[in-house]
Order: sequence, then structure tokens, then C-alpha cells
Amino acid sequence: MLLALIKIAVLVFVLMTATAYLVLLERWVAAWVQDRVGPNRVGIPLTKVRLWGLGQPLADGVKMLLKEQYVPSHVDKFLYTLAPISIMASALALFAVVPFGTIDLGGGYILDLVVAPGIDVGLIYIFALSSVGVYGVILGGWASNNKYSFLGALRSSAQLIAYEIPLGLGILGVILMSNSLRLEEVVNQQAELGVWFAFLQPIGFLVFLVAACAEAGRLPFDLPEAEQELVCGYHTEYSGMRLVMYASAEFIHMITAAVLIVLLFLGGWHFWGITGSEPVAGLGLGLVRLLILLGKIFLVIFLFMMVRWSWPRFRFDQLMSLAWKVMLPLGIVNLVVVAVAVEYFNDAIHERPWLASAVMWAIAIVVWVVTAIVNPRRDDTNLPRLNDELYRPDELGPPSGGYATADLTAAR
Amino acid sequence: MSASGWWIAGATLFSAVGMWLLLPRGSAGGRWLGGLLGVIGLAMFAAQLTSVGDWLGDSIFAVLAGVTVGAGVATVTFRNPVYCAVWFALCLLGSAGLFFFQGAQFLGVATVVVYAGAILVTLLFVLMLANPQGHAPYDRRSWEAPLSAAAGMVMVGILTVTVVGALRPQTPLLRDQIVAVLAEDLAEDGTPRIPPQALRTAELVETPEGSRLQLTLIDVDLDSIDQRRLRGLLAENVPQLSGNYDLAIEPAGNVLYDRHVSRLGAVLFSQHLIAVEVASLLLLAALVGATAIVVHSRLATHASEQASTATGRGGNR
Repeated sequence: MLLALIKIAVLVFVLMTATAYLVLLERWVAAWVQDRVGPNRVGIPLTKVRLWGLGQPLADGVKMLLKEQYVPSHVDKFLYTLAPISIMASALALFAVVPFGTIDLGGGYILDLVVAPGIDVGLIYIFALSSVGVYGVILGGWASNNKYSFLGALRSSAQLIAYEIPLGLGILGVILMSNSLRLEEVVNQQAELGVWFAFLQPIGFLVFLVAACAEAGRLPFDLPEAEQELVCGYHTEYSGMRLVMYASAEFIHMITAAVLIVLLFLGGWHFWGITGSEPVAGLGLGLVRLLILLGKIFLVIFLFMMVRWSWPRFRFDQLMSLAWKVMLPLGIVNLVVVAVAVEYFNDAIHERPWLASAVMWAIAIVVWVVTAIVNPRRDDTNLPRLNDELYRPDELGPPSGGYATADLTAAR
Repeated sequence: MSASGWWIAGATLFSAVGMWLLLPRGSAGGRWLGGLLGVIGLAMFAAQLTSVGDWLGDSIFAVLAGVTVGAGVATVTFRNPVYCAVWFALCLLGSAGLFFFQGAQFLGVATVVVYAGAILVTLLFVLMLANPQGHAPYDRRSWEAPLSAAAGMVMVGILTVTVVGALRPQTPLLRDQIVAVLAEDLAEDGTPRIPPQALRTAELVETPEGSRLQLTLIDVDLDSIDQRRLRGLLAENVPQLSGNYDLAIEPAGNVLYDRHVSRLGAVLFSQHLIAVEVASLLLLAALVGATAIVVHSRLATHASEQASTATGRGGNR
């Protein structure tokens, strides 16, 4: 009981601190990509020591804590308050089953670096909590009683529901191959094989990566809060600590996505030639493994940040086509391939994992080529377009049938 | 009717009247009285339940069950449909907690994934699209309030009678005695032949042929048990079993099991294969039907667009 409480305290502390500093990192990366200086002023308080701006998260936190929590008069107060709480709670509770390794402290005492060890349904638990997180967005958008918030919430719920399916299909391949719903077991299997599932299931990895990015609402998929269109999306009406809860829950979602990608597809704590492949490690080796795991997570988060400043946002119909017409079929292909491989070639996979992953990559390339050839031609008649009749920039006032943007809603 | 029968009938009456007063009937009168009656009725129901174990287990159960029942009542009594959906989500989380409390982890998370995560979110989505303010009168009135209150509470009463009957203490002493015997019965290497914690239930059933002791065990290879020896051992050490009795050992048929997901899968896809296939076929049919409706309406829209373009200038609507 006490041990679990200590673990929870450590986990929440680390997560919140990591969130604060990842925001700083994101701003640094943004500045670097855009050739700016970025936040570098705030250092140790009350001194002139700048420390490369490392005090910025502290200053941000104090600012947000002390800000007025303005509640507009037109909101539904109960749900308006409940929404950020629910999204934050589900984002944090999700980490209860994330394993950070198992350390043998000697004397027969084994420390599981996970809050709730022995949950047999870890993966579905994560899936369940991430789907509960949608409530925070929908309720916040609805309770705000604001059209921008409402549109953001609608977009978000449609997006999250759509991308949960490829996400689940990506996970299913991993479950089939590792024969378990426990995250510890999934990592142990990859360590034992010596080949990460990203190599053995390239299609599944791609599908999961894209779907996880979409579930986290990172930039190519950040339609729920597209600043240029919706002010701030579903949290337009929020301020102060409530806004902080939304923002940090979003960042925690990104951390979750990175953690899941690392655990399910990038081998967790395993690295060739350094960590060995036993499930339980001694103290020194356990810390090395923890560092490797955190390093991988950091790299994936960095990838997310670079993606944010590299790609433009999808249009909504592109987003939906990607989910239903690209990711869903690819996920099913991956599921079938993995099911056949596990059913008929399981021994071969365990004997020659690298050869198996080469075969899987060959299959992935074949799938890609076949898709590229037989893919039905895009139906351009359904896409929004600016035709001459509508788009008349030289004429003052609205064109005879309304502005060109009206066509976006007409062309379903 | 027995005393407990009258008690349950009274509880059903109280809670049915309370529910009727609580339901949104178009007037807010009597809601406080309804709440009071409902609480009395539910407390009377709850008084019939037996303790599940230690005080911690009892209190966890009480909190989870209270949250579930309270949220369920709120689901049907609130007038704003969005609030109803939120209360229903809480009700589902409470049920998931109850499943977890019983060790049925898979059912717990599946409830959340399927109901709270998929169905209810879609429902909220539709609710917001169709009726964003939630002020449509047909959404704010309960239909057939007296009948539904009565039917619901009678069902709760019948379920309570059944559950209380099933929970009646079944000679817990017997199980404790058998556990003690199993703990004493050591193999050569000093460990018990049958681990005592493997014993789930022990029940003495009277049949026309004589009495039969039914044991359910978990995590034990049943073929490795010397039944004749165990029978003799139990007859010697357990006073209740003196005389001639039959021993029946079965694997425990519940989900309280470490690797219960694989076990659940095995049961689902062997004993209940046809039910699973029929359910999946049903879902597939619904999916195909939905697609057909979408394609049909799209074709219709397309045709009308063509027609309007042909007659005059269409295009921008």
C-alpha cells in the first residue's frame, strides 16, 4: 500500500515536471526550427543568473497559478469545471500500468517500476482510459457554449473515434505476436527475440505511429484546436489553472503516445549489447535500462516536436480519408499478415528473427506497391474547389451565391 | 409471505414511488420527497445484502455500488440529456470498478472501452449535432413515468431476492475446515499437496443417493489429485463429513485467475463460439446497413444536384 503510494507520488511528480520542461523544449525546438532565439531569459529567481532559460517553466507555472480563473457567465458551470478534471485524471491514471522495468534489489526483494503490477489487461486499460479522455474535450466544448469550442469538440470527437480503430489494429498485431496483454510481457518478448516489433511489423508500426500522433492531437492532426480557424478550439473559454490542466493533459497524451510507441514497437528498455535480455536486472543494469527507456521516449517526443514544425495541418476530409481509407485497410493487412505469420511460422520467427523481419519488410513493400497500383483514382468531384463563378476577387461585396468558403459545407 | 419477503416488497414499493416522483414528469413537484423515499427504499434493499468479507472489502463495495446506483438513478432523472449521458458514464465507471473489485479485469476495462469509450461518446456526438442546447421537450420528459418506475423497481426487487438467496451463507465453516486440512496435508517436499488458496468453494449437497461434497479448485492440475485419498482424509478430519459421501472436484468456473484473459478467450471461443459468431454477424450486418444508407442518400443528393444543374444555375448552395 505504502509502496504504491510512493510510486504514485514519484510518477506524478516526474510526469508533471517532465511536462513543464517538455513545454520549454518544445519552445526551444520551435525557436531553433524558425531560426529564433527562444526563451532564454528566466533563470534562478531574484538573481541575474540566466541558466539558458531553465527557470521558464517555473515562471509559467506561477503565472498560470496566480491568474484569474475567469468563468464566463454563459457556460454550464458544472460541466465546465468537470471537463478539465476528467481529461487530466484519465491522462494521469493511464500511467498506472506503464512498466519502467523490474529491478532486483538483492535479498530476494524485487522492485517493479510500475504502479499497478500484475494487471493482466494493461493494454486494454490504456485503451479504455485514452477513450475516456475524449469526455474532457467533448464536455469542455459543449459546456463553453461557444461556437468555436463546439466546433473544436465536434472535430475532436470525430477524429479520436476514427483514429481509435487503426490504433487498436496496430496494438492487435503486437498482442498476437507477444501473446499477452501485459506491457511487461510485450517488452520481455522483444528483448528475448532481440528484434523489436517495429522491425517485425513495419506496417503495424506505421499505422500505430500515425494513429498515436492523431490521438495525441499533435500538429498534422491538431484540427480540434486549429488556432487559425477556431481561436483555440475546445478550450477557447478556459483560463488559469483549468487551461493549464487542458494543456498539460495534452502534453501528457503526447508522452503517453511516445511511451506506448517505445514499449510496443521499439523494444522498451532493450538495446543490443548493453542491456541483456533477462526480465529482471540488478540495480546497476536496471538503472541503465531505465536510462535507455527514457532516452528512447525522449527521442520519440523529439520526433513529434520536429513533425509539428515540419508538416502543415490536414484538411478535415483528408484527415478522415487517411483514417478510414488508408490506415484502416493497412491495419487490417498488418493484422492478417501477423496472424498468418504467428500461426504458421512462429518457430521460424523465434529461430531467425532478423530473417523474419526482412520478410516482413518485403511484404510491407509489396503491400505498398500493390496499393499504389490498384488504388482507385481519387474522386475529385467530391473535393471542395474554388471555381471561377465563386471566386471573383476583383468584385467588391459577396458574390451572387455567397463566399467561396460556403462551398466547403456544400461539397460533402 | 416471509418477513424478508414483506421487507423486499416494502422496499420495492418505497423505491418505485420515489422513482416515479423523481422522474422528470414536466413538473418539479415532489422531487425531494421522491429522493427521500428512493433512499429509504434502496437502504432497505441494501440491508438485505450480506457482508462480502472484511470491513475494507465491504466499504469498497459499498462505495462502488452506491456510486453506480446513484449515478444510474441520476441518469434517468436528470432533464438535460448531456447530463444524463455524463451520469451514465459515471454509472459505467462504477460498474467497471465493481468488475475490477471482483477480479474480472477484462470485463471491467471492456465495459469502459465499449460503453463509455465508444457508444456513449458517439451518443454525445449525435446529441450535440442534433440538439446542441439540449432543450427539446421530447428529450426532457420521461415517457410512461409510472409504468417504467414500477417495472424497474419490481425488477430490482426480484433480482435482490435472487441475489440474496444465492448469497445466503453456505456453511463457510466447512470451507475453512477443508482449507485447514489441505494446509496440514504436506507432500514429501514440505509443501501442501493441494495449495489451500486454490480452494474456491466447498459445498455439501444433499442428493437422493446421499450427500455430495462439491469442491471447486483453481490453478491445480485436477488429474494429479488422488481423490480417494483426499476423500478419506477429509472424512477423518471434518466432522460434518462423517459417514458416506461422494466427492466431486471441478475447476473453478469463474474469472478470478491470474491469466484470466487467455482463459476467458478460451471459454468464449469454445463454449460460446456460436454466440460470438452470431453477435459479430449482427454487427457486420448493421455496418453494411449503415453503409448502404449512406451510399443511397449520397446517390440521391448527387441526382438532385444534377437535376438542379440541368434546370438552372446550381452549384453553390
